[in-house]
Amino acid sequence: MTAEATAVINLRAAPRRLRRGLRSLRLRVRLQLAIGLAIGGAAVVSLLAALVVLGLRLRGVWYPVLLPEIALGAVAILSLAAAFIWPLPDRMIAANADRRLGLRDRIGSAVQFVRDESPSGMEQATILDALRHLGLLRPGEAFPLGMPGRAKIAGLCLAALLLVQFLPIPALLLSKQEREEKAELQEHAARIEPLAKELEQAALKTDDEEAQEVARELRKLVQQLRRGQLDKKRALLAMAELEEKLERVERRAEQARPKTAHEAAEKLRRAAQESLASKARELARQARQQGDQRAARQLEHIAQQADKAPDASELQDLAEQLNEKAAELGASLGLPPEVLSALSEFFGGGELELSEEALRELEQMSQEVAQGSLGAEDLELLAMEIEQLSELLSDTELAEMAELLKQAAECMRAGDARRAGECLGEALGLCQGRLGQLGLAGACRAGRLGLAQARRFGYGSRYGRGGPMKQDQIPPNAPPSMLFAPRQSDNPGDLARVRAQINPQGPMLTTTEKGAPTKVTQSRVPYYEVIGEYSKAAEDAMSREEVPPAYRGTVRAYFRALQSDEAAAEE
Amino acid sequence: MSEAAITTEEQARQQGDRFRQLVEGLKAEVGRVIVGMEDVVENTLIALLSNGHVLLEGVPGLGKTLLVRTLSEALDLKFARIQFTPDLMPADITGTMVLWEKPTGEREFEFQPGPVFANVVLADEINRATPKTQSALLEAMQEHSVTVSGTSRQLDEPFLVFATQNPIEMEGTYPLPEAQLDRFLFKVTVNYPSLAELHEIVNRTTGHEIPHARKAANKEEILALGEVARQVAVAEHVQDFALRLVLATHPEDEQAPDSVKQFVRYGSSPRGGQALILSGKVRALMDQRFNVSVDDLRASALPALRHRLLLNFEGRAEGVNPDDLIQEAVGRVARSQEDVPV
Repeated sequence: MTAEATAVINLRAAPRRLRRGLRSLRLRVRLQLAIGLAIGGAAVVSLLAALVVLGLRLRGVWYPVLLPEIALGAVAILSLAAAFIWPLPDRMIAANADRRLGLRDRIGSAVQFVRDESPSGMEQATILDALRHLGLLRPGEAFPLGMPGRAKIAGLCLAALLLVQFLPIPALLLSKQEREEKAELQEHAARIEPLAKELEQAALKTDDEEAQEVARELRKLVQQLRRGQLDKKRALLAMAELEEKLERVERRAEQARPKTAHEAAEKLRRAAQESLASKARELARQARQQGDQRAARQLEHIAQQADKAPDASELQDLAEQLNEKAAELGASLGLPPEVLSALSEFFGGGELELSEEALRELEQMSQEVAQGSLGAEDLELLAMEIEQLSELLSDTELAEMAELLKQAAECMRAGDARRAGECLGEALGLCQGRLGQLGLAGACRAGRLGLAQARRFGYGSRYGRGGPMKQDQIPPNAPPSMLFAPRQSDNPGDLARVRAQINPQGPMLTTTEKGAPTKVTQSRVPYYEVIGEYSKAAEDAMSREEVPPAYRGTVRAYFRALQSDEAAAEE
Repeated sequence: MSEAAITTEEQARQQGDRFRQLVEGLKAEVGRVIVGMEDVVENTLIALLSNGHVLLEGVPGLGKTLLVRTLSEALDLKFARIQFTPDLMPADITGTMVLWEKPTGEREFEFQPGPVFANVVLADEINRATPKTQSALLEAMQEHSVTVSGTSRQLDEPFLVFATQNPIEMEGTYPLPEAQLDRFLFKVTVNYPSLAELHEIVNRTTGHEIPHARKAANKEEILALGEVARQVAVAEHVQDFALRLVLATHPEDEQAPDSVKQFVRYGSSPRGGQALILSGKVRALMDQRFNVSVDDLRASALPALRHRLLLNFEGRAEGVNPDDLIQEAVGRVARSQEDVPV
């Protein structure tokens, strides 16, 4: 084949090869364009967002925290889309590649000559020359991907946005009231923090994912409050949201509890009371027989105290004293007297640590039974008491556990200590499972209450007419001037057309009330108790957009007026 | 002599190779005599291969005349030198009718050709002659013909005028008219040599043996290669650059830089565009390419346009250098090129 023929063949394939080469260059340009647009857009959006966020934060206006970041994401997506629809004709790509690589317009000229139906010899030579160069060049050389110069500016703008968003506003820029609010929020955060840790631990024990998530959110909220990253409004909203979640988790955890657990608790308490008193009297008798009158009197006193003990925790204390006396006298008590009261506490939702302790003792005892280290007399005594416990639990939802305890007692009597130990162990396992659920519920409740208390500062105790009085400082017999309750309004109201959520164009009955309530003496509800709830209800209703926009200002003004009353009272 | 059209890539490559060999040979031969002045030599060769005239401007003693003489030696072309003086008459250039007595005793007028009837004419110190005499070259330079006593006589091809002028001595000189300036393809400025070049010049010219150029190309080859150069392809965007550059030298053009608008009275004529493209084609071949590039045009912009800009009074009073104006115009046109938005 002659050189001329080769050139003709190459020339026929030239347009396709040229297009292919330019396609890869164009892709590179588009990527670079996307990066450039994204960076430029990010710089502009970050700067604007930083200014807007700063303004909003200084004015205390709430905004979705991640809105600027969402806007930045949208800019990135739009940049990518714009880069891929940007018109980039062949001649532009070719001319730029020529310029950037010093190809002296070879490719740009070839793009034009290749369209000729019968190119001249010089044009053919140019086309083939361009193809040779195009084959050798790498798109990255012509259009290297890299950060454009404005990336630094974009980085600075982004950093400014993040600082404005997440750093606490310097105290210098805050009003006196805002500074006080922040300080108070930090105090509350310090109070909630141990509760949050407790909740986290309880959630980890139960493998409850939602509880763990809520615990993490609570910890995060505490951190934000401590750092002063949240203003009052956002803090209250976050607290309200978390409170709801905690309530949900708590309710779920509570559901796992026997419905008749309280009854069982009461029965156990009574049983513990009787057991403790009878054991104390029995020991007193033994002491008298040994001639130790002083111990006998003390034990009689313990028995009397046990008879009168109103709750399980007192029984626990008495059980400890009884244990000590029994140890002094060298007497055996069989089932430890605190076990029943501890179980009572457990079912009543009381101290978890004590319940755990009691269960551990039972566990130890079950091991002793299994190992056969107890004598026949002790075993009989234990069997009787376990049977009694089984009977107490049999009509509760812990019937399964009661059945196991009953089996354990039977095995003890039959002399099968190993099986008895196993049954006791299983019964304990069931008990501990419940304990975990109760631990979570308790932690949730504690966290929720902590949050509720913290949240009240925004509405409640600070706004008492008698000054900034803490909730626990207000006496139960507070004078009428410190009390407030809503009164029945005589105003029939006006019919106004307002934009509401349910019916945007519909009429609503509205009433404008101004001034202080007139019949305060009729109420016995403490002001500080209701104002928090009412404010919260109003805020919640507004955040759910249930209050028409036209009336939100009035609602806020009302609560602000109460606040100014408080300030006046302070002065 | 006309070179056949190049229709295949192979032919283009062969002709391109031949072109480069010839240019390299010429450069080598000129380089034996001329020290340095690479730009001047290159621009002169480009003008030669574009069949264009060159105006060499420089102070006396820089080797302008030697360059032209060496070039004619290397080219095996008929060379004529005209020393322009104030009393030089047009007939001294073009030739005149003289009364001639035949052996029969009969008398008749016969045309006696002047020095312009050569392939390479060196018009030394062209600005010393009166405009009337300078104008004698106008027809020869544009039409490659001379009209005497109503009879037009064709000049031998190639016909090239290499004129020199001294930019310093203004007394007793007659600036070239615009029409004449416009006929020069290039105006090449000859600068003072460097110290190293001066050493080399002294060594070469004061020794026992004075170097001379040998023949590197003949008339036919020069004409043929000129034809090859004319077939070099020019893309639209490149030609567009050249023409927008020409327009940018006009003060009334939108793209003209502010300095052009301020100091220029008239911009380049269309001949400026032709000069840019033609010289660009030769440069492309010299650079082993078959297409003209914008860089070729940039390289030719100064010699092709500097003598075509007519400064206004303010420009002349301020001592504005047309080269600066052209550079600005080049920059402005280059910036307006379509660019990818990255």
